Amino acid sequence: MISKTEALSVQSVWQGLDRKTYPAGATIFAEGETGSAAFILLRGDVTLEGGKQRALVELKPGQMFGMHALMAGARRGATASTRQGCEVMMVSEERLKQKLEEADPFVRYWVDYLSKRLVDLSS
Amino acid sequence: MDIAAARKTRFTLFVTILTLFLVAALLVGIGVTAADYIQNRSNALRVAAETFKEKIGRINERRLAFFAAPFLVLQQFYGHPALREATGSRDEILKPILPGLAMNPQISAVYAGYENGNFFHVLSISETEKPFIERLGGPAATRFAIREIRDDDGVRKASWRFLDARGQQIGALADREATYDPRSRDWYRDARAEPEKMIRTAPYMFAATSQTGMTLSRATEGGAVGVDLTLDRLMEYVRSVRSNENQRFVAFDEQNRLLAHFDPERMFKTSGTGEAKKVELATTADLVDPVVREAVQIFGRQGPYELARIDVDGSEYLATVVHQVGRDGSGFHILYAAPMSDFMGPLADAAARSILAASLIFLLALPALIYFAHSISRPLSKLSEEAELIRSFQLAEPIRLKSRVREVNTLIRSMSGMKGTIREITKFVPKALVRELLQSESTVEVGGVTRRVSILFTDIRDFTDMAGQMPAEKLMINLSEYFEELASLIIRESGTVDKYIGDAILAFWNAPLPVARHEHVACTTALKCRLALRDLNERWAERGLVPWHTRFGVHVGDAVLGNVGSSDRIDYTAIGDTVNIASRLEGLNKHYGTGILASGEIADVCSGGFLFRRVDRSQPKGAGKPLDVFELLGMREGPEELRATPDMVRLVEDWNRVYEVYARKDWLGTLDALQEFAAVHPEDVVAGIYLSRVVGFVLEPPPDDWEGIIHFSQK
Repeated sequence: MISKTEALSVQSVWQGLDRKTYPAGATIFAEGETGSAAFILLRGDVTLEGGKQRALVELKPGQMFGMHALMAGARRGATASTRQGCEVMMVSEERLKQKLEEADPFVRYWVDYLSKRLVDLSS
Repeated sequence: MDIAAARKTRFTLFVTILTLFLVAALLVGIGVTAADYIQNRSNALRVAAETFKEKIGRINERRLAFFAAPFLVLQQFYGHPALREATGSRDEILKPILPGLAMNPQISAVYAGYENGNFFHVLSISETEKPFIERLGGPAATRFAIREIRDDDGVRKASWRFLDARGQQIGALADREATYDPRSRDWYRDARAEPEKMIRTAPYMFAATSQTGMTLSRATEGGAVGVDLTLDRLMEYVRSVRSNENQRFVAFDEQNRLLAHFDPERMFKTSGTGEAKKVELATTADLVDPVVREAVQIFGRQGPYELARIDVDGSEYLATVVHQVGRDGSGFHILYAAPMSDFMGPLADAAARSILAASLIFLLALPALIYFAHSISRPLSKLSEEAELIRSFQLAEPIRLKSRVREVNTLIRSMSGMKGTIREITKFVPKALVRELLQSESTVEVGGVTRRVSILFTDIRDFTDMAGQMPAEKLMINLSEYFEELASLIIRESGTVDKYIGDAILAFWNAPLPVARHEHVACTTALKCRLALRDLNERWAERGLVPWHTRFGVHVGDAVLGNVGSSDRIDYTAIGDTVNIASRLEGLNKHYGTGILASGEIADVCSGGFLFRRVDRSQPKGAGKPLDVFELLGMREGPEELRATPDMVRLVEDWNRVYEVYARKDWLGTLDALQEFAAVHPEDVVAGIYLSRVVGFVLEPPPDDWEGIIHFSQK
């Protein structure tokens, strides 16, 4: 019997995390795609471009993107691409959900609420 | 025990008891000897008095017997008609007289003297008188000699006739000039002076034979008759009464003239020399024997006495002087003296006898004495050994002793109970503490001292969950087995088991007794516990039991050691942050997935001997300073089962590379390093935690002044 707070091996922590490298000009995901993973920019550059305003967001290492996947049935709201190439850490949907489940119920509810609002606003 | 007392010689109880018995036996021996001697002495005086009476009685008997015949002979002479006239034939008397003389050797002569100077003299010739007859010219076979002195016309003439043993005349001597005149002699004059009385002269030397003796005489109508008695015979006769040469007797008359002396030579004293030589009867004043002189002096002071004690030259004598009346009516005294030792053995003999008897009794009783002394001393000496065992805290064996002595038995029972009680008590309190109490002989008081101690805290992983799935009795049995395993190991390693808290054990080193390198000992013990529990779990697995996993926390620091509680119930315990941190370290195992966590303080001291893995810097809730946490993996050298494995060494090496990058706060580099590390050590939990943490740091880096301290909100 393993409790929820039981320490996990490094191997199991890696599960759901995947380091990927993209060459210059590569697209990480495109707007409208169904995608279930979020990404953390480790090295390089990522530009998010999409939405009705076609807004352009430049990301720096240490920033996370693609968190829409947490919202049920949501599609990618922007296209993520790299100009110079980048290294990202892909965080699986499962891992994201697990993280969310570990969180405080209040925070969970709040995140749930915000994401629903976001879906409502964007549709 | 103070030093002065320790220096005194101590005897064993056995020797003491035996000596007491010996002294008692000796005293009894001496007492018996003394009593014996005193009894002997008073007996001796009584015996002496009786003996003296008997001796004097016998002397008297002999004296009377001695004198009886002479009296009879004198009586015959006195009344005989043939002797009544101064002249005429006397042959008629010879017939009755000669046999009387022949039968009584003490009579040397019988005679009659008359007023006209006539004298009729019958001599009994024995060996001693033979020379006299020879000189006279009589035949050698003469047995009796008869002398008659007649006064014929103014010329006094003596004639001799010699008779043989049968009374036949064998020779004669015709008239010779007579030199002897009865009328000038004492016997004659004294008898004539007191006509109605039998006269006894004092001893003197006989005129005819030069022998010493005395004369009994009695006056007749015209003269006097007399009988000569030789003293030799009397003396010989009386001396034979004595039991030995040391006994003395003397007889003396009222004029203090000697009548008898145990040494006949002393009867007379000679004065002058040559022609003037004069032999005189000795008196009591002439006595030379010191015993007799002393006895006579006493007599001089107080008259006759029954018994007197005389000391002469260190020897004790007893003497008596009694008054006697002779047949002739004259009074005289008999002195008899004898050494005290004749009536009692000397003291030495009595003592020897008694001591011999006492020794014999003691020897015969010795086996019994030894048995009794042993039966008292052996259990006591065993018991004192037991007491020493208790003092040195060896309580395992119950006391198996018995004694015949009730008090000793009670003592054994009490002591056995005490030992058992202490044994039981030590299960509730640290043995080292009780041992210290027993050895320092101090009392327990509330209070404490601050001391640096190494603390080991153990706890069973998920015990609460397991407890819920197990019957309570079974759980208690298992838990006891588990505690026995761990606690006995900790105690063997000189640790003090402070308390059991549920399934946790709190133990420490360096108190109450100092322990050298206690940090190392604590680490070693933690490793040994881990090993012991592995064995225990194997045994349990065979019995189908679920294994228990124990987590350990090891820390060193100052703690307040002392007795805490009420006067009724005092616990010796360690209190302070140090204890809390040890407990916290144990709890952190859960978080880091480790088995033994040690503090940085431990790692600082022990890293030379043990392999540690740096785990984290954490700030537990409520703790003052951040805590460096290390995992204790094994010994660098030592028994194989306690030694760190090559895998562990490699793990630490690999991990140190990761940590180096982490310490630089290069989070992306750390991710790289962790990825590399995970490829080799995929099961490592600490690395997992770091991975999660570093991913977080990538998203939200800690402030620049961050010192690597991780805060734990949960306990």
